[in-house]
Amino acid sequence: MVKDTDISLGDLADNALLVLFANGSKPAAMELTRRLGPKVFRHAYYRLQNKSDAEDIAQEAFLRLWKIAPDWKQDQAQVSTWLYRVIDNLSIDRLRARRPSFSLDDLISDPVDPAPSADQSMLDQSRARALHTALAALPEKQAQAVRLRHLDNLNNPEIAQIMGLSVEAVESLTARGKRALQAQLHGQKTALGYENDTA
Amino acid sequence: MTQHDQNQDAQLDDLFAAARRDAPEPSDAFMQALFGTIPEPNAATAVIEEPVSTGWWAGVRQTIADTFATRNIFSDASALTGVIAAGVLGVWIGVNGGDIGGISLNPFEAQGLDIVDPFSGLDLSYMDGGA
Repeated sequence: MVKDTDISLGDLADNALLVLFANGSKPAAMELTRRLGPKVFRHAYYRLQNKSDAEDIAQEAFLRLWKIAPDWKQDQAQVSTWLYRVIDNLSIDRLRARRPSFSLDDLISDPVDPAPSADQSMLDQSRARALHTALAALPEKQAQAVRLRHLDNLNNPEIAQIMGLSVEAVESLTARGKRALQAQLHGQKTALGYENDTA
Repeated sequence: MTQHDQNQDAQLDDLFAAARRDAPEPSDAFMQALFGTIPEPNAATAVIEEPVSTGWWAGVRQTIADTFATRNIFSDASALTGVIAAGVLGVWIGVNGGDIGGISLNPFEAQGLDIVDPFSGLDLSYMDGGA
């Protein structure tokens, strides 16, 4: 059995760390958590737009990961891919149980001052809300593909694995999703601080 | 791609960047809670190794299996070694007259009983009847 001290855990692939954990190495699980915890949390946040819910779901996803670790096959999937998929499923359940918290009208009625002196974080917040609201109005698969590509910064093969689709299907979903977002957000340019754009 | 399309793409990219910046960093408390989900390695998670048999028969099988493994004759010799070991044992029993390590394989003899044929005349009576 490989001892934790024989190798640097930071050099190992995610799957190898999970197998090490299944064989009794808690440090391997801690390294995996350090590596993937923030990514998984952000992915949950992009989906749920609520810090507390994102934390709950991320914890639940990791609990499930430790549970299936003894049966993990190194060649079956990436650990991160598996976690993203679990997060997506848990998020859908959480959103179904939750009442809508805001609508597109909320965004339009609360324009942000686009002047250079305006607080950048306020502008980011407003733009982020507009984007998430527009994403929520897209067909589920389109929104999921766009989030994974442009917020989580995953590549198309990774997204294809998470969504169980071909790379071509992911490319198509992402392109259609972006066009739909542009159409939705077109009328909000002023509210989002793009009033000086000529387009 | 027209200038209009490029502007729209740029604005959308700007919105994605804003959403990424707006996402909160995971707090230390959350990370600690996440570490807290890791169970202590125990029998529930660790791979349980099968106990190693150290008996005489296991020794014979292992020797044969090791021979095949080190010479790379078969990739999976486990089934074959059982058959070969049984063959070796059969030959040995034949050579030693049914004794293995001083233990007789004859159940009557092992219990100190003489072998008695309870139907000693039966074969003759059959021969008589059949004749």
